[in-house]
Amino acid sequence: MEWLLEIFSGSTFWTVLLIAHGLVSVALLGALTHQSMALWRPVNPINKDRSFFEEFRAVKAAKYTKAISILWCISFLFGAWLYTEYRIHVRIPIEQQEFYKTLGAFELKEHLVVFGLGMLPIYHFAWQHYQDLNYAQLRKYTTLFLTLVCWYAFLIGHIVNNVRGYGS
Amino acid sequence: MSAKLQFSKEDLMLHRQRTSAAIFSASFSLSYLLVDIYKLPFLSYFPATHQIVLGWTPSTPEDGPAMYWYGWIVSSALIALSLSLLSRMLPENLLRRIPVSIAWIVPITLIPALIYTLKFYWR
Repeated sequence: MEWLLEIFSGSTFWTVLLIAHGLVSVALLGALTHQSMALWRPVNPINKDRSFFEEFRAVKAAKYTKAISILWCISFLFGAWLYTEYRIHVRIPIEQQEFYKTLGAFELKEHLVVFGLGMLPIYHFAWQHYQDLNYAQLRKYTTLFLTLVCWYAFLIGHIVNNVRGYGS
Repeated sequence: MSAKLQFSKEDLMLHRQRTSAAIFSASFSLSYLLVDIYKLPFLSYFPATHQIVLGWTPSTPEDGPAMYWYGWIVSSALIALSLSLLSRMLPENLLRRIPVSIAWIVPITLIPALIYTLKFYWR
């Protein structure tokens, strides 16, 4: 940790980490949205004259699983690291400004991403057996859960950053 | 007839894998909520002083605010991992009775309780 802070100044390091966290989250959001859409509204494979929205859904959903699991873990680790800095330099000023609902929404995000982390093994299992219809419901609901949590986390993270970003 | 109801060796392996992953997901979320409510984090972290203390420790003016989130994750991961490993030893007839849907039903059902635990903020 010390060697990192010797290379970057304190606030630069946290800003770089926050941007990396954001970029990984964007990739995760895209992958999960593609997978969810392909699963919940599959396209007719025979139809070759597809609209933009149909093309968006016409992906091989199972191929995204490993990337999603890895991205979730990386994003989680970056977020967990940032959380230490957030507790001191972001949360306290927001408390002083009395933006309690913003803080509550952020705390809920922290809880939900943990639920998502715990769901990864069964999500991975369900997609490993993507041809097995017995797990169709499991695939649908675990993927939907992860997608909604990812969207919520992304939006709330963005809002908190707008209220009090690093270096502000 | 009873022989037909038995799992093949591969099926049994698959069911054990499936059930332990489902139990992990359900117990991870449930134990996370319980360790939060009953103040049972494995550790408390003080970000201002980078101090780690085992168990629940209150914030102090000297050490600054305490963080319990990491401790909740460790506690619930240990509980979920233990239950998940134990579930691998369950007999076949019990294994059949555990629905895999608990993996997503339990976390979703717990969300209102999670929101309630944050009631301090909803003012």
